[in-house]
Amino acid sequence: MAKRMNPCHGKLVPKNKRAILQFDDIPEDVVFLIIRLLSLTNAARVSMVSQKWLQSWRLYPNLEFTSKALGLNKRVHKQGRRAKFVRCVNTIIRHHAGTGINSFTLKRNLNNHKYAHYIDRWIYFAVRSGANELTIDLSPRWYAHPHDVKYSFPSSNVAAPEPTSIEHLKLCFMNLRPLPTFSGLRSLKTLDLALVCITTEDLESLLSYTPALQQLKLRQCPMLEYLKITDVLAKLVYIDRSLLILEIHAQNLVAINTYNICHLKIVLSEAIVLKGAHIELVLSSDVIEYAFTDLAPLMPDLESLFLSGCTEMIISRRPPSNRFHCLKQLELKLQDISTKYDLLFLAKFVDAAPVLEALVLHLEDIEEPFCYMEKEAELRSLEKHCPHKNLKLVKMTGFSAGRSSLELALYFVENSPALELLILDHRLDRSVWRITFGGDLDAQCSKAMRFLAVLHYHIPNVAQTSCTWCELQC
Amino acid sequence: MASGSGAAAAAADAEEKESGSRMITLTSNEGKAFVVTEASARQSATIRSMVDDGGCVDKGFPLPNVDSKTLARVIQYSDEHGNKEPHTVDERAALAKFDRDFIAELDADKAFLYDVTMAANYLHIQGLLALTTQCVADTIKGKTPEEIRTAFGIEYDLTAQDEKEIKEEDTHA
Repeated sequence: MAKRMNPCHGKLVPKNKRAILQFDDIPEDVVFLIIRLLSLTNAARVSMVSQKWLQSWRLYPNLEFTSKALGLNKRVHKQGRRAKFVRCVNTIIRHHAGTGINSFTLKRNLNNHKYAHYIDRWIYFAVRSGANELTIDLSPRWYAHPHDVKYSFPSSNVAAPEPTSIEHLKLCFMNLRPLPTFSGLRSLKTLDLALVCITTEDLESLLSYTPALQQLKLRQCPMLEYLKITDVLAKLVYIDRSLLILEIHAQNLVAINTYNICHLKIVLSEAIVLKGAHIELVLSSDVIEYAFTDLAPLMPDLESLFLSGCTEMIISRRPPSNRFHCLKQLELKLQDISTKYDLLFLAKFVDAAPVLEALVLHLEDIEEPFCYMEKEAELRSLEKHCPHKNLKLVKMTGFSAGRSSLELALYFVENSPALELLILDHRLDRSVWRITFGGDLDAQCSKAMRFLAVLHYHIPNVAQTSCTWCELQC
Repeated sequence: MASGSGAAAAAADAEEKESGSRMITLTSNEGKAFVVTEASARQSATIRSMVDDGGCVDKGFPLPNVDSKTLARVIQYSDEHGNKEPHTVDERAALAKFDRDFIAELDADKAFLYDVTMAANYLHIQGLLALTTQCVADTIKGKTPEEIRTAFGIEYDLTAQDEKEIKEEDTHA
């Protein structure tokens, strides 16, 4: 590096030509505008260009400390990378003017007591410098379990500055014991806690100081089993794992996301008009049953609903009032669908949402045998009683072209007069991490073609259909 | 946009009485007059505040820091953004395409890019300044300090003290 720093610039600048861009004349505010668009690495490089740019480095607003950004490559720096990381961050912070920071990000596994006071100091620096976004992620790269958390914020009793400028706070992998002095989160809009050990009382007291909160995300926070959200107006709540009972009295809540291993009990105060819900139930009994018995009476005003989980595919007797009267968008992700189940039952579930506009079905692990042409006459069709007048879009992924999935698709085609688009995709949903088919493209295409043929057989006036893989058109 | 001095200004006056939208004359440092609509001129916060303060709209605004070539290009931008209000998706896409083409032309001529950046800064045209600074930032990305100096023709003026500080601060550049 020393070699590179040598003033060999005389050769580099063409003397007889006009300098291409007279950077030295650029006013400092424009330099600042440019440098704020660069990543930490590029900003550090450009700061070595000249005096003016070096000055602007002191005001660089987006501090992002990751091993990659600091160039601490595993192959180059084999030993003591954590210590080097800490040294690097300390030096950069020491040279920073300490004002005008926009975002401060720290992502590094520093889960060790000896770094605790550094992390405290960095957080206080970010807060004092007026950061809008603060992200502290101390989780190990491969395996993170809340039992291994070592860092507690705050680790010392140093007087903390008031975090009034922070709008977005994201903390991962730490114990959190908010001090009374660190409670002035008046501008906080989003709060995201993942693998954070915080007690229900502490979180509730923290939330009581956040009048501007719009979004709350809690993921795998082991100490939370019960949470009551009162009048702090969160517009979106995202809850994950562990939580068993969620009580909500916030009137402005419009959406809720949950991902839960066990059966989550949600208690809502009556005044809430919940518009959206995203619910994933893992290892739970029956997601469709849950939707009918728990969600429908609890959230009658839902406009968009995402449900994921397993189902027995049996719809029990229920009061007819358990319907989703306002539901416009429904997305269902069903796992472990075995051959003995009948997909056509989903038609009955969808009937409970009379004004539905868009339906997306993700069928995973479906093992329905391929349906052959000769059996066409055997396809059942349900009685047509209440057509889905508003249904415009139906999408099915993981479509196997088996008997009951064919029947289900046909049901929607026949009972939705306003249907504009029907997408049948034999691949699994994109968010599923696995190889979607065994490379046998021809077989997949023939499935799609088969369905097209069946479709034409039943509904001759379908205008045009096509296979997404081979662009085959009927 | 019309160029020329007296005749154009007179024509603009006539148009103003007819359509109700005022025309504003901008004069480059070479004395060339450009007549633009008020909506176009208001893209510039500098001119906007002068107009709102009841400044000399009739006399026009001399811009001693901007030459004719640069001003013509700046007006091209502010005409596109000031005179039309994009409503539909297509209109917004067309405007985005105009921005892309506009900056691609400037990117090819770095000296001119510099002039337009300085003019946008002087006139406080936020959208244009964002475009040009983004273009400069894109040029810087992934380059070593020497490459940046070469690309932009910057004099090396760091002292030994600065170098020492940088060295201890920075392990990767």
